[in-house]
Parts: sequence; structure tokens; C-alpha cells
Amino acid sequence: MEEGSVLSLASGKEYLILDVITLKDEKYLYCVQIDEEEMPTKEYKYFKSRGNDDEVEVEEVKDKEIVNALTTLFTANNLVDVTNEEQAA
Amino acid sequence: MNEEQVKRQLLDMILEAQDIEFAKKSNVLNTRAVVANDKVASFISAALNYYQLVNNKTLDGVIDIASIIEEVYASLTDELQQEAGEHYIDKGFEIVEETKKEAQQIEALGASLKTVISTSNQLFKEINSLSLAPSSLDTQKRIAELQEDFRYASSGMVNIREQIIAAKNRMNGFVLEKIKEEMEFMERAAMNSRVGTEYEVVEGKKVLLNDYREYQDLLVLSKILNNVKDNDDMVLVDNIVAVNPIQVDSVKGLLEGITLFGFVKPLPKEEVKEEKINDKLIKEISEYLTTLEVEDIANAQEPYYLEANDKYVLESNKEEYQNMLEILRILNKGNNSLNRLVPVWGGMAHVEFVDKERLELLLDKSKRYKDKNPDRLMLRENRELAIELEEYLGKLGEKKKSATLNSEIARTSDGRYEVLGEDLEEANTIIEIINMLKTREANLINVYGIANVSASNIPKFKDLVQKTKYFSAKVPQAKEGIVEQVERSEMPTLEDPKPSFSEPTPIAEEPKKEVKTEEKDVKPEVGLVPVVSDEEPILESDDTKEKGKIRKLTKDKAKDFFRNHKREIAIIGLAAAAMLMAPTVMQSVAVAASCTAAKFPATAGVMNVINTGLSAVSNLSFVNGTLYNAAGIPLTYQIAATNFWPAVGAATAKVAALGAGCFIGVKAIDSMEYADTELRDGTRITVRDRILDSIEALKSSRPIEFLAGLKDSIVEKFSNNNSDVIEDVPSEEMASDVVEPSILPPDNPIPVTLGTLPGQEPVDPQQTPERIKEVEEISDEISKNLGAQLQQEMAEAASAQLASQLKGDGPIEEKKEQTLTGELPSPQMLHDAAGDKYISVLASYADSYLADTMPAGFNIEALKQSIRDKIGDIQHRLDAGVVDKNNIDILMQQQAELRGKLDAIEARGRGI
Repeated sequence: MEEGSVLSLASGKEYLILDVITLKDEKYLYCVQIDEEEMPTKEYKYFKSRGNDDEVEVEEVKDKEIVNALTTLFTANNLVDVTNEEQAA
Repeated sequence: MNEEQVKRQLLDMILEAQDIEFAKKSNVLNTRAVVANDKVASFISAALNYYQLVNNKTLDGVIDIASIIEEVYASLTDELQQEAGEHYIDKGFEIVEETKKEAQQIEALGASLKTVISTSNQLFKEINSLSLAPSSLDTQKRIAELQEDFRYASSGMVNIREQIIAAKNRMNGFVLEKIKEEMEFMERAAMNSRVGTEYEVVEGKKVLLNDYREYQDLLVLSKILNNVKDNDDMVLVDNIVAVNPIQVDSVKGLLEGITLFGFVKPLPKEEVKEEKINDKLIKEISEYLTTLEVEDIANAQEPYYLEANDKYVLESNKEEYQNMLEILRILNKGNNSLNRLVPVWGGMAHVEFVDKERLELLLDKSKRYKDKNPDRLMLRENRELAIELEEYLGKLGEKKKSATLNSEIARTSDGRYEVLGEDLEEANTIIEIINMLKTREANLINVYGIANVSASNIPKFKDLVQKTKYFSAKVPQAKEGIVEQVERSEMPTLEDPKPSFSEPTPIAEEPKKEVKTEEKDVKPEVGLVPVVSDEEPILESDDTKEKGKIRKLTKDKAKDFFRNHKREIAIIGLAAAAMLMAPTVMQSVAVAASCTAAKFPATAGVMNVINTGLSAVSNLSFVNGTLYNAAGIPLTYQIAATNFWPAVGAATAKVAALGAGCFIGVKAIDSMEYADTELRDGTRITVRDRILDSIEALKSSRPIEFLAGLKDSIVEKFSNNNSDVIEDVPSEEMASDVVEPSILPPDNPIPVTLGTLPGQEPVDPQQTPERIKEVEEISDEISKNLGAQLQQEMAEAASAQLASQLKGDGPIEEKKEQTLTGELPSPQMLHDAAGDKYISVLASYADSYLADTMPAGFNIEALKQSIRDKIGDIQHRLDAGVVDKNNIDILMQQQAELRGKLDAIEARGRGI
């Protein structure tokens, strides 16, 4: 379960994992749905996940408070990279 | 009793007498010493005792007791004066301590008040302006909303004022109490003075002549402090009293003259020997030098005399010793330098840039230090890894032996190995890694605990190791970056309105996660540490959960796309989510920014950056922390989501995401009890330091140029790579709208209009019809793809953009046709033009009018009023001090430009 790998669900939907964090002992995935060409669509999701690469079980995060917390945390993660590498012009 | 005890006894008796009335105290044997009547005998006895102890002799025979007492009293005078001074120092510090909290509070509240006043003024203006516009249901609705906001802001203003007044009362009340104590002390001194002592009467109170002036000053000060008007502005003086602006000069003068407040200002700090940056290494080298020096010259072989410091060393150590002396010279120079210092050998020393290379050379030559070169150590690790990888290649080559008839055999890119076809990619990647490891570079950085590469090679190295099977166990499965650290510091979720951060712990002291790798322990470098995720049990199954598997991407196009654009893909989604937060959570940004502005000025700058960025790429703006579009409609997630795929929206979304990051920073910093300087000077790398760094980087960057680049890359990405996937991709025409960052003017980051970027080339008049077509096509596309609100917003802006570009070439009739809507600028458009982003539109309308290219019937009065409003608005912002200092000059220039236009228009009106 790492950044850049694909979460392939039993429903047939597939998601590209964009980032992973652990919050209060729970692992959360930040994903974008991909199409049959494995290209990203505009559907983004946060999933809470358990298990390993061979057998994973996910649950979409809908709790607004957790969504807010995850958004800020994931953004911070990306912001650090952006400012360090791209804003040094 | 020893000498000190006797002295204390004598001093106590003298001090006690100062507080008792004259009739109850006497001069001791007519000397200057005055004590209570019942203490005269005790004082004489103690004074004689003290005299013997001090002089170490026994009194015998005939002695002049009075002169001994006079002598003792004289010796005690210094002590008394010192005690009096200490009394004032103590009181001064007491005042400073007691009023400090109120002073900080008043300062912070003052900053918030400024912000709220500014917001109220804007709302008031907007309401007035809308009232003049043609009435419609939408307008009425908007006015009602603005009035509600205005009422809210007004009540906030009252609340802040009340808090300021309460803090002022507490602060001034404490100082008044101290003044009262001091005045009463002086009155007692006069009352207790002996008959005949000169005194004055002030408002019915007797005061000694010596105290008269001070008493008068205290009296005047107390009167001023009792007459501070609550409904006037407050100004802090010396951070101990708050008075009205008109009282400031008098109060300053009084505070300077009164002894009690003379001690309020912090006393000069004791000279503490400050540890300098190279002290540790200097000490180490100094000790090393002593080990090289020869004490026993007679028995030493080939002692060599160093004239420079009168020491002997062995001939064999001569060069080392001299090099060390030179290193010491460079280090000391660095210690005393006022120039910027650069780190050497991973921060082992800090020296002036001109000395860096020489120091590196000397350290490298040194017997003692050459092995401590971090780059040398890292290169050695790389060499070891390269050997290990060669062995791995050899093993891949050996697999050929087990090849079957159907197995494909291929040669590696360097031609050295034959491997199975299935291993070829792995082997070639390993060869590329080995080549990278063999490059001798300086300033290496450890990546994933695997190897050390230069900063410029990190992305390539990461890509390579991620491709390999060999390193799959070492490549991070989750970033041990800010996320885990924030989590470790128990960051509360957003539901907690007042997050509290625990004391930041130096990374080095934090409990390390046990990191297991097959080969060796990885370095605990933040952000690069691989984390081994423990496998966890599957959740209990229910309807909301879904099972699945994890696999790798298989399509090369997708792999490339993700590798090249993963950050943009991530940020866009996060931005949409951040916009979802905007109406509720993001509001805290503005509040937190204004509240923390006093102790952390960067936050105010960050808000400016966000708004500047927003207005550069869209009609969006933050007002009181809520995101509004040009029509003044608060943006919801749905509108934002509709917008975020086109290039403009994506760039906007990016800013929103940065805003979310700033939100974290502001919140984190707000919850810290740290002073700004501690934050900046701290050497510990903590989560907050990293957030702070990000904010500082954002603040100091040129966000408009950055956004232009980002927009460019996103347009390019979706028009070239992904146009068949994403529905709302920008058209080719839109892509052509994008300006290369390189042509952006570096010093003018002020935005122009929606969809354009600073520095965009003006339209060539020869190509105007094509340009119109282009804009119409864009407008059509927008119509097709975007929601109603956004469509209106962008069409208006496109019209404004075009109008701004049409300057006085060609006949008037042609210009009329060239106007997208064919309409004259409406009052609403002119009103919109009064926003920051439309400064150039106002200017271009003015130019058109002056060039006689405006259509007949153009409402010049409306334009003049809009320009006046804009000039006033800029002035208001400058006066309110809400403008980031980097933008002050630009705003002033724009204000001057608008003034020039207005003057020219008015001159034209007067027929000049």
C-alpha cells in the first residue's frame, strides 16, 4: 500500500494511491479513481484501510471532521515539497 | 554577631526611622543618624561594635563616640542609596511584569481591530454602491447579506473595543496604584521630617522640597491616566500605560522624569559571553594543538620551533600544526564576521564564503579531520553499495544458467552481463544506479537510507530505486514526513477550536520507530525514512466496506503521467477538498492571522500572498476568510469543483491548497507559546519549524510566477496527455493563452484580469478579429462546461480583458464591434473594475476615453468615480497598514498612475 500503486476493488473500481498517512493507528489512503487506461479521473476519495497488499479492506471516509483533518495533513505533506522544490525561483 | 549582621541591624534601625513621625525619633548624639527614640542606645552600641569589627581593633581609653557614629553612618550611606535604588528597580520590574500581559493583549486586539474596521469599511462601500445599482431581487438579496455581515463586523468591533478598554483599565489601574503608594511615601517623609525642614504644599499635602518636583509629576501623571477617554484611540507608552494619542507626548516626558519609572525600562543586560558558532571546533583544535606541541625539547627527535607562537613541534607534525593554526584563524574570522557564513562539511564549521574552499582543503589534508568529511564518508557508503550491486548483477547473470530453451537472453545496456529477458529492466536500472553512485559529488544527501546523492539527482535516484525489485523493501511505503510527526505531536483534529500543541521535541530525542531493512539500518533522516508497515487484520465485513487488492500500475503512459505529474494530481484533489472546508474552517485563517499578527507578523503576509495569488488567476477573493466570486457569492464546493479542471481553476485550486497549508501553519503557530525569535532562531527541526519554513518560503516566493508556471504545466499536461480522459480540459485555444513564466515581469506581480497573467503580451491590432474569435470560443467552451455562476464571472472577465486590450487603433465603429458584448461598461462593471484585479481595466478605459476611442454616450462620470474610489481604496489600505510591505510600492505606483489618468480626464473636461 504505497504511493503510486493501484487499489483495485471488488466492485471493479480502481484507484491510484496518491498518499498514505497513519492517524491514530488507522491507515488512510488518498486516492484518485483511474479509468481503464489507468489515467486519473476527477473522482478523489479518502479511504480508511486495513490489511495488506494481497487482501485489503477499505472504507470511504465521509466524516467531515476526519475529511478536514486529512485534507490539512495531506496538504501539509504536499505543501512542504512544493515550497521547497518549486518555489525557489 | 558578625560584621554583616551588625550592619543589617544598623540599616534596619535607620530605615525604620524614615517611616515614623518626627516626635518619635531623634538624631543620635547630634549626628546625621536618625533612629526611633527607643533605639538610640541600641544604635550607639551596635555602631561601636560595627566600628571595631570593621577596623579590627578594640576601643579603649577616651573615645569620641559621636565622631565614630558619624563615621559609621557615612559608611552606611552608600548602602542606603543602593537599597533605595533597588527599591525602585524592584518596583520598576514589578510594573513591567504586571503590565506585560495587558500590553500584549492591547497590541493584538489593536491589530484585530484594524482588520475588522477595514472589512467594515469595505462592506459599507459595497452596500452603498449596490444601493445605487439598478434594483433587482439578486441585488436586494446581496445587500441584505452584506448588511448582515456589516452588523456582524460592527458587533465584533464593539467587542474588541470593550476588551481593549478592560485591558487598559487593568494596566493603568495597576500603575495608578503604584503612583499612589509612591506619593504617600513622600507625604509620610514630609510629615516625619524634623522641624525646620523645607517643604512645599501641593494640593493640601506637605511634600519635602527634594521630593516636590517628582511629586508634582506623579500627580500630573495620575490625573492624565484617570482621564484617558475610552471612546478615543489607545496608544501604549513604554508598554506600561495606555493613553489617548493626544496624551502620548506628555506621558512620555513624565515617565522619563519620574525616578520610579526610570527603572521600568529593561536594564542593560549583563555582558554574557555568547557562545559563537565555531567555538566548539576551535576548542577541539586548540586541545589537539597542545597534543602536537613538544614540551621536552631535549629528548624530542627533530623538534621544530614555530616562531609564530613560540612552540616546538616535531618536524613530522609541522605541517599539520601549521594547517591547524590556519584553520583556527579561519574559524575565528568566521566567529567575528558580520558577513553571511556558509556551512562546511555538513555544518561542522561556519565560515565566510571566501574561506570555504580553503578550509575544506585544510580539513581534507589534516590527519585528524580528513576522515570526518561527510561527503567522503557518504561516497564510501556509495562505493560499498556499488560493489553490493555489482554482486547482485552477477547473481542475475548466473540465472542465465537455469534458462530453458524458451527463455529470452539479453545483454545489459553496458554490455557486461547476459541476463534473462525478464531481468533485463532490473539489471539496466541497477547499472544506472551504479553509474550514479560512482559520480563523485559534494553536498550529498541520503535518500531512503539507501545511498547518498546530490540534491539535483534525488528525483532521478528515487525513480530508479522505485523501479527495482532489489530496493523494493527499502523504498518508503509511507512518508515519515510531516504527517507522522504531526500525528506524533498529537495534533488535535479540526473539531477542537483551540488546538494545543505539545512542547516541540527535538527530533533526536523522539522515540525512533524501529526501522528494519534487509541490508542495514537506515539513517533517521526526516522525510526519507522508510517505514515498514505492519500487516493488519482485515476489518469485519459490512456494507460500507469493500475488499480489494493492491497492484502496480501496468501502462507505461499512466506510469509516466503519474511520475511526472503526481504532485499536481494530488494538489488538485486536495484543493477541491480545501474549498469544501472554505466556508467553515478557512474562516479561522483570517481570524488566526489577525490575532497572531502581533507575535508572528508572517501570517499577515501569508494572507496577502494568498489573496494576491487568488486575484491573479481568478475573480475569487477571501473576505473574512470566506471565498467569494466576483459576484459576491460565497463559493461552495460544487462551484469550485466545476471550476477546478480548467487551467484557471486548477491554478486557483492550487492557491486554495496553499491556503490550507497556511491554515495549518497559522493554527500551529497560534497554539504555541513561543516568541517569534525563538521560532526563528531555534535550531531544532520540528514539525513547526518545517511548517514555518514552508510559510516563509511561500511568503518570499513570487507566487504569481509560480502559478503561471503551474498553470502552464497543467494546461500542457491535459491538452497533450490526457485530453481524451478529462472532460473539461482546456481547449488548444486556452492553452495558447498561457504565458511562459520566463516572459513575466519579475517586479510587477499585480494581477490584471481573469484568465490573464501579468506580462501577457497585448493583442496585436492586426490579429484582433482572430483574437475575438478565440475569446468567443473560450467563452463558448466556458458556457458549455461551467456552472451558471462561473460562466457569468468568466464571460464578464473575458469581456473586461478584451476591452482592456483594445487600445486606440482603428476607427471607433470597428472598436464597437470588437467589444465582446457590444455594450458600454455598465456601472456594475465599473464597480467591479474597482477591485484590485481591475486596476488596468480602469486605466485602459481612461486611455480609451483620452484617445477618443470610447463610444458616444460613455458615462465618463461613472469612470471618474470608479477611479476616485479605487484611489481612495488603495489609500485606505495603505493607511490601515494591511498591505504586505512588498506590495506597498506597487500599490503606490498604481495609485499614482490612476491619479494621473484622473487628472488627464478632468483636464480634458475643462478643455485643457
